[in-house]
Amino acid sequence: MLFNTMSFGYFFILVAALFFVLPQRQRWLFLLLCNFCYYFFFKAEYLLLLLLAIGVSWWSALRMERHEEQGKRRAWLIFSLVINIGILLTFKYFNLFSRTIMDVSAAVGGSLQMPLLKWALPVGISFYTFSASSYVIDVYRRKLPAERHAGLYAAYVSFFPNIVSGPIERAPHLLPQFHAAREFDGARAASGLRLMLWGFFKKLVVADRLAIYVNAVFGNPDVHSGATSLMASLFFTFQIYCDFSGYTDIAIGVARILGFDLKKNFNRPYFSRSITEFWRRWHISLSSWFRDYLYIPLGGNRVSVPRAYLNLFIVFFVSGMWHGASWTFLIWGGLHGLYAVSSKFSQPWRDRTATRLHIPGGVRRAFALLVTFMLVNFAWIYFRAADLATANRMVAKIFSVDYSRLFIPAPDQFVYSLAAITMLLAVELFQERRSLTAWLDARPLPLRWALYVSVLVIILLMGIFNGSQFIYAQF
Amino acid sequence: MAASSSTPSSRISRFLARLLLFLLLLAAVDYGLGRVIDHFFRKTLYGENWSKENWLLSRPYDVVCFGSSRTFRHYIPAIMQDSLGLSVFNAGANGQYLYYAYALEQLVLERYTPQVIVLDLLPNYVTKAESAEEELGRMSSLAPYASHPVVAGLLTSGKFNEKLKLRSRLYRYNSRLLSLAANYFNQPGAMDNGFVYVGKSKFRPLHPFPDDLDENPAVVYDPERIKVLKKFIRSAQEREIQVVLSFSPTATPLSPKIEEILSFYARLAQETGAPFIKIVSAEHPRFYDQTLYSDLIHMNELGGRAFTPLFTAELKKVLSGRHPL
Repeated sequence: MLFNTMSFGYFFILVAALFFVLPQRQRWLFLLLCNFCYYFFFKAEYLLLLLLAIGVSWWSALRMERHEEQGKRRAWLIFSLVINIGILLTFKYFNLFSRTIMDVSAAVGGSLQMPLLKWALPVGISFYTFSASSYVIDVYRRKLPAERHAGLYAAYVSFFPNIVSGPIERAPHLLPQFHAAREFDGARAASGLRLMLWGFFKKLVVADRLAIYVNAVFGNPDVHSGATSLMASLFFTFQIYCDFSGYTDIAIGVARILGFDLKKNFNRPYFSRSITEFWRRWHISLSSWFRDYLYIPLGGNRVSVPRAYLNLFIVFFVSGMWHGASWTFLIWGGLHGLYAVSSKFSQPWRDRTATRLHIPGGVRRAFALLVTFMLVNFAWIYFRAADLATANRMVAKIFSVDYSRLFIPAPDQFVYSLAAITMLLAVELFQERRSLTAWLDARPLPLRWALYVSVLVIILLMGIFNGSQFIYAQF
Repeated sequence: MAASSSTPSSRISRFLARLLLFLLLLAAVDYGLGRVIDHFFRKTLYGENWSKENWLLSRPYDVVCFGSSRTFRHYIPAIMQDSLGLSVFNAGANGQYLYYAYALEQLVLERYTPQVIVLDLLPNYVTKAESAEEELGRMSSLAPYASHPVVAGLLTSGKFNEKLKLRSRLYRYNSRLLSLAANYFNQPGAMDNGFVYVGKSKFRPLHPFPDDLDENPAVVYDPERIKVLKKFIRSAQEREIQVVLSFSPTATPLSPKIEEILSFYARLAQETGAPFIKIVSAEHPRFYDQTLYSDLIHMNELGGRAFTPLFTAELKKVLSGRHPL
């Protein structure tokens, strides 16, 4: 029941209608049942895993709070993290681990057989285990009191708008919202619907349209030219952004209609002028999670310079690992780590050179934006490719001199793709300069409605309605 | 401030009233704009897409040949017209099979009554060589005609959600607006009543029948498709249209599996009273000449020019009552 299916539409209309009809004191229970029901539709068995993650983190936090002794508190923290992160690692890495052992065994002439899990990765496991883990760590750090109400805590971890692909919500932000009374607010609901509309535009008009070209080229890189490979990589750069941020917009919109605020997860990342800025704008909830629970505990930048660079690299490498057990994700994370470290390392030299050459600020900013975009684009090739060999073939093609022909299977469909990117960039450029929400709110109702209807017309005429999976739902 | 000064129920009512108004506006725009596109669509008679359907439906033809890419390449209307003295249209389409032919036939019958309907048969019209879902998935070019219940039924496979989507007139033109505009302004192409002269193309041993690709040695018939084929025949016969089933030659001998399906077609022809004109290379060895083909089952223009007179002669016999069933 993904956001871009009709089933979700029916589900959400029913949930929203009943939620505000029910008395306040029953709403949390209703929401909890809806969360479980939503998750149940993906794969019923995995609801047990979700319940385990919720139960272990809730119980551990409560036990932790009862103890003043640091050792016991730490024991409960470790217990909870081992279970939560253990579930995540088992599902994501067990098969890689088994296969590696078998490969090593075969390489030395042995025939060791290891068991392999034949289960699909539970939906949203990377997201809800991180939410639950951050809660336990925050309680351990005494930043947050343990939640006594198991139902409210379960509703927070399993909140259906963000369980599949985030944003990864921290307890201090979202959990108190489950305690507060929710009243229907028309303006909030309208703004939620507006955000959902933009999310659907990104997913259906941009991401799924570009996916057609991207899949064709990445699925068969050998037959395509360098120009085509470059075009596919550029298209994927926009596809993944619109797929993921489209999901996030819909999730935030859905939550907003129900009266909840989810954190912003994207802030027009392709307008970044450095890799560090990119990560402040891309998947903000994950990068801030890693900053608070990995980078800072490693020492952050309050250590020697080489160690700070290593810390930075480790964070990006682990971020790559978080995405999945594949060399392509590790390289993607590693590339971003290298970018970030070399960016910091070369910053003083770049500043000096720019000053010495009297390069105007505007030119420098535009150049920085372009270079950042190209670096990010290059790393996405590894993220998208089915395996390392495919990624390397794509890269080799791009750096070849074969730019003679560009694969355009259907000219009109190609024009739709370019038009979709243009519309996206136009809106984002506007948002870079001023708040679109504020601008819209200041316009008269007929103009606002005309704009909303226009977006819907574009979706109907240009959208791809095949109910395709959101890319980040696989993580 | 407004939120706190009114009761929750009045706020909900106000919001729902606005939402309803917005949806009505959207429906009006969808209908109005959809009708405008409809208008231009019906006039699209050239270009790569829809020109065929629109030509076929825009004026009556005496003979209409339905079918797949084999029909499209094998039946030359100009030759048939000269010989029969009747107007002929080739409604065969690349990548389309029985369901498309049935949908198009229903659209024709809604508009006019031809004298003769020819259906060039492919073995997989009645087998499960390809899933119905896949075949129906390729028929989205007929979405602009979704007001017809049979077309809507086939496009949606009876699914409620799909039916709901097709209620939108704009959605029917999803991903088609640009090519529609291009076709509208295009100059007349080299289409001859549905047939496109592609010239002589070189033979490549590709594209066997889908049933020959299926590893299962036994023929697995599809009762649903058989039902549709019978409906195709009967709905025309009910209007006293002469329905003719046909099978055209192939570059290589037919496999036992295909032979078995052709026997099934022969029995079906007997059962329905539709004459079956079967022109196979085994009985006409000159059709084993690979210069007549572009691949294993598709003739090139030379092949079409060799086949069409032979078929037309047989069709003439049918029309004069001299062709055995």
